[in-house]
Amino acid sequence: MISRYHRILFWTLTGAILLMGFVLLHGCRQAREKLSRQRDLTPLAAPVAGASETVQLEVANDADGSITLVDRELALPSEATARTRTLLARMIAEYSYKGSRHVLESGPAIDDVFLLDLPIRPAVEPGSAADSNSAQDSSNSGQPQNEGGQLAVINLNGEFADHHPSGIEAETLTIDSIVGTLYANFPRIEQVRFLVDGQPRETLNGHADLLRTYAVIDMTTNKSAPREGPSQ
Amino acid sequence: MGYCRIELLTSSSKRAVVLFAVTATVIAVALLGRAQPQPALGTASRASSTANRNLIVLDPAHGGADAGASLGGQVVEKDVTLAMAGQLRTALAAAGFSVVSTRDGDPTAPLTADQRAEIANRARPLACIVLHASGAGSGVHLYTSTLRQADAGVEGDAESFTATPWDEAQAGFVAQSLSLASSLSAAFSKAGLPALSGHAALRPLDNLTCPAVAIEVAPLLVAGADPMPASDPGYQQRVAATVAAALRVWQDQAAQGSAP
Repeated sequence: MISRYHRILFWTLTGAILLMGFVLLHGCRQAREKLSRQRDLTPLAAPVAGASETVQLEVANDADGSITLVDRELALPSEATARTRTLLARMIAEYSYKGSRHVLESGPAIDDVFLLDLPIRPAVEPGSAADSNSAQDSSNSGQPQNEGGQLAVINLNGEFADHHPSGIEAETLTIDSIVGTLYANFPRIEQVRFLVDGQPRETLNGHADLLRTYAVIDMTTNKSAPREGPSQ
Repeated sequence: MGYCRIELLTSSSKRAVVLFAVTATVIAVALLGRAQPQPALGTASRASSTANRNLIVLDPAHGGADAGASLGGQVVEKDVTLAMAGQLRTALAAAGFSVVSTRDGDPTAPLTADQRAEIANRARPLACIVLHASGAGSGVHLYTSTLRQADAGVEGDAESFTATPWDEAQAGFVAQSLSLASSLSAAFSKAGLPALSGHAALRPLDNLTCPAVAIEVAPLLVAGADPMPASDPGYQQRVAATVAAALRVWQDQAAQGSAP
């Protein structure tokens, strides 16, 4: 016959074992999560000290719909596409800072940038069959304005597009700001197209057309940005 | 034998006459069909001459699964644009205009931007008003197409005819759209409503073959009080009345030839 004292001791020890097991499992899970978080931030290559340079950002203002040119000091990589991507990411990050006049959520916005030399399609002989077939496409997309002109394909992050403030003004100002910043810093880029998560998408978040090719022009002169008062 | 030959000749002559008559009828119908005026895109002057000078097309943006922007709480853009279209329809009718709307309710399968443009283009209206609403910014935003005004072809010169791409259909009407936006901006200033004018790459604005302006209604900042949201019926009524008055003035100017 097992005494009452032994039974109490047995169940107490059993409970303690289960509790310790649970604590151990929980601790292991937390440690694994911590490690996996650190792994994302673990540097893989030695940092390279780059000289910072002055770049120009065309930043938007929701209050009056204007776009203003501002100077910033920034260390940029030498490779052209990485340079473009870094600059645009810095420009979008500007909008998540406190006091921004065109508020966007913080987070990755630009996944990739591809720079393609224009013309993308070979030139067509005037009067040829191919020329008559392409008569419908009267736009100059795909053809350079100057020799060495480039088309920038900007692959936006899907989360960025989905959480972008919805509205004609907000979306147009973001697009104009990107286009204007490219104009101010990359003279070879003449045209811009947008993708979202690697796919063509109709609008940024319901309004601004992302299927068209945008001409890279100075947006601070308000050629495209909203302007006060009668437009004529 | 000779009788039979005469009979055969007569029969073949009848067949030839019938065949000739049918062929002539078909050719005549085809020629008449070609002679009818064809609806052509892109040339503003041609379209203006056939436009319904008293008709306004309203396009309340979004609808169905496409709710548009969230304007705070349970309010979504598609409901606000529909409410504004209702207010504007009343104001325009009171000002003597006929109104066609691309959306009168919230259909489960809304029309695409191309289909809405097609409705507007077929109606050949005096003007097209695309309605949007936003929770960002303030006042009323007026947008016209980013396209450049297309060069006008020489009237009656068949050699000068060029097909207009669908995505650039608005190009022939850019000057008229800017004139309309200017009239609207002046009317909003007169009504004490702050208005910003600009250009936007927005569907279906570039596909419309009529003077077209997109109106985005954002919250109205009121001194010493909370901003008035775009869903406020009183605010919508002010906007509607102002747009109707501006359209009336612009129509009169166009009739007198001062507007393009």
